Amino acid sequence: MSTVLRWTGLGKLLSFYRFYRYFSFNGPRLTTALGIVPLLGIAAIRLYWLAGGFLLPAYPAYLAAYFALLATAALLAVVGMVLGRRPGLVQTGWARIGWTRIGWARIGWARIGWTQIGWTLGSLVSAASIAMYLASRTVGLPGLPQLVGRWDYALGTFAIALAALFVALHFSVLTGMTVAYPHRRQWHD
Amino acid sequence: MVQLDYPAWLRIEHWVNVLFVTLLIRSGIEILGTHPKLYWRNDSKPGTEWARFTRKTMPTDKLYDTLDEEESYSSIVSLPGHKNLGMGRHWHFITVMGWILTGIAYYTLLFVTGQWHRYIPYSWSIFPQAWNDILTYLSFKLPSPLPGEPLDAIQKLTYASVIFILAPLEILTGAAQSPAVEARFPWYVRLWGGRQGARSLHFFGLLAFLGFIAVHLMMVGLWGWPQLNALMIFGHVRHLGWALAASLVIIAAIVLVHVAATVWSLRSPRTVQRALGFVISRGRRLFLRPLASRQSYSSSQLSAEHRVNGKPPDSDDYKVMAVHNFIDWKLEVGGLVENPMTFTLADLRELGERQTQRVLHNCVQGWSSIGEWGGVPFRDVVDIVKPLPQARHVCFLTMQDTGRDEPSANGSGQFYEIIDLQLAYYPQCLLAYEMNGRPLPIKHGAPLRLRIENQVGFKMAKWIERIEFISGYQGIGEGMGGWREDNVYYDKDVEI
Repeated sequence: MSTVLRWTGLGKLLSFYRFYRYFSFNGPRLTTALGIVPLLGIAAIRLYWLAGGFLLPAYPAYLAAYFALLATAALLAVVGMVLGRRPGLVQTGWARIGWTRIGWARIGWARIGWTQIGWTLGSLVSAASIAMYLASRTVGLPGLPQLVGRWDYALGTFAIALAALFVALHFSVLTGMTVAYPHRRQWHD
Repeated sequence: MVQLDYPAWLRIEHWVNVLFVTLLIRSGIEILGTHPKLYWRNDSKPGTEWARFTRKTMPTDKLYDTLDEEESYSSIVSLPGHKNLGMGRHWHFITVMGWILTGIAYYTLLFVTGQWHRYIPYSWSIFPQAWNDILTYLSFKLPSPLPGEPLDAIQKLTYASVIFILAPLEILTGAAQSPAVEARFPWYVRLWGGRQGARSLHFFGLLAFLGFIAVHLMMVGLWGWPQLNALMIFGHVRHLGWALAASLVIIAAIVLVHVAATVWSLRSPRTVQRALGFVISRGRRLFLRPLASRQSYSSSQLSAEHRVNGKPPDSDDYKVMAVHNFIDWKLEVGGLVENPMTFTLADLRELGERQTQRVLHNCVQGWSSIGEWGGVPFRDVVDIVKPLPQARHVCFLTMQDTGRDEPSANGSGQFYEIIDLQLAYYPQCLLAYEMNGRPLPIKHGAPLRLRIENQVGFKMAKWIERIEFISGYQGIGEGMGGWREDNVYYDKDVEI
C-alpha cells in the first residue's frame, strides 16, 4: 500500500499539511487589498440593512445593534489592516537616541500588532456573520421566526460568501500560503 | 431562427473537448513543475516570483542551477508526473494540435449551422438579464432560460467567454512562449507583458478553466444531470438510463486514455518520444522553423542576473584552461567538411566582424532573461570549413560530463546537442564568446557557447570543444539528436 501511495503520489496529495506547502504567493499588498474588500462589503451590507434595506421592514432592536456592531467591527478591522500598511512612518534619526530607540521599537511592534489584530477581528466578524446568518435560517433568532428557511435572499448569500472569502484568505495568511502587508517574503534563493 | 438543439457534432466535440482539456491541464502542470515559479518580469530574477508551487528552497551559499529547482508532482495532477518535462511537453503539444483542430471545426460548424446563436449575444439587454440571473442563483433558485434558447443569460455569457475569449487566450499566450515566435515578432510577446507575463496569464487561463469546469459540473447537477446528460448523449431527453450508461462509458474511456498515457510515458518514454515527436516535429518545422530572429532589445532591458541550466565542467583540464583565460583552448571543426579547422579563441575573435545581439533567452523550463551576446556568426565558420553536400546536421560537443558535473540530471556522458544545418545560416545563429560586453562567464559556457535565438535554451550548447558536420545522428548517443533528447526525452526541434 505504501508503495502505491508513494508511486502515485497519493500519500502526498492526501496529506493536507504537505499539500498546502506546495502553494505560496508573494503579494502582500494584494493580499491585504483582497482582505479589505470583503470586510468593506460586509460593513456596507449591514449599513444598508440598517438604513432600511433589510429583508423585513421591522426587526428587533438587538438585530439593529448587531448590524451596527458588525459594521463597526469590520471597519475597525480594516483600519487595523491599513495601519499596518505604513511601516515607514517611523523615521531614522530618532533611533540614535537611547530612549527614542525604545519608542521606535514600540511603534514598530504596535503597527505589526495592529495588522494582526485587524485580521483576527476580521475573521471574528466573518465568523459571527456566518454564524448569525445560519442561525437565523435554521434554528431562528428571537423575535424573527419568519427568517427561518429564507435562503432565497441574494444579498444574504452574498454577505456570507464575502465572510467565507475573508476567513479563507486569513487562513491562507496564517498557514503561510500568502503574506499580508507589512510582512514580506524572504525569498532570497 | 435555427433551432438551438444538440446536434451530433456538438455532442461529439463536447466529449472530445473533455479529453483534450484534461490532457492539456495535466501535461501543463507537468511543464509548470519543472520551474514551479511564476514571474511578471522577463528576467525571472530569483526572489521576484509572485507564486511558487514547490516546497524546495535553494541554497544561498553554493552554486545551484535551475535543474535543482525542478519539482516532482504526482501523476494524479500531472502527465506523466514524477519530473518528466520531456514527456509533459510531448503530451501538451500533441494535445494542443488536436485541440486547435477541434476548435477550428467547432467554430466552423457553429457558424455554418447557425448554432452560434446559443453563445453569442446580440442585445445589450443580456447584461441586466445576466445580473438578474446571478441574483436568482444567489437566492438558491434557477433562473429561466432565454426564450427559445437552451441557456440562461449568465450561462450564455459564460460559455461565450470561455469559447471565444478564454480558449483563444490560452492558445495566444502559449504561442507567446515560443522562442521562434518571440524571436520573429518581439512586439507580440511585449503585447502580453513579456515572456513571463504570457506564462503567468497562461496560468491564470488554467485557473479559469478549472473554475469553469467546477461551476459547469455544479450547474449540470443543479439543472438536472440525467436530462442534460441525455441531451449531450442522444440530443434529446430520453432513455435516461442508457444515456447515463453511455456517459459513464465515455468518462471511463477518457480516464483510460489518461491512465494509458501516464503508464506508457513512465514505462516506455522513448516510444512516446518517437511517436508523438514524429507528429509534433512536422508541425514545428512547418509553422515555426521559418521564423528567424529579429530581436534587438535595448541595453536598458538587459537582465541584471541570468539564471543557468547546467553546471560547468568540473575537470582539471577545464580549470587549468579557465585559470589561463582559455588561451590553451582550441575548437576543432570537422566531420563532413572540405576544410577541417582548429580555432583558438583569438582566431575566433579575429574571424570576420564581431556580431552582438540583445535577445530574450528561453529556457525549456519556462524561465527567461535578456542578455547581450557577442561572437562570430556561425555561418562565417560554416563558410570557411565548407560543409560537404551530404552534411545535414551539426553536432556540438562540449566539455561537460553530465554524470560528473550535473548530479540533478538523469543520465551521464559527454553533453552534446545537434541542430539542423539549415539553422546555422540564420542571422542570429552565433558562436558567442562574450556576454553583456564581457568575456563569457564560466557558468554561461566559457569560452564558447552557441546562440540560436529561435530555439529553446538547451540546444545552445555551452563549453563547446568540437563541432562536427554530420549526415545523420542516428548513430550518435541514443540517436535522438542530443544529450537531452537521449536522456530526458526532450524533442530535437524546439521552436516551442
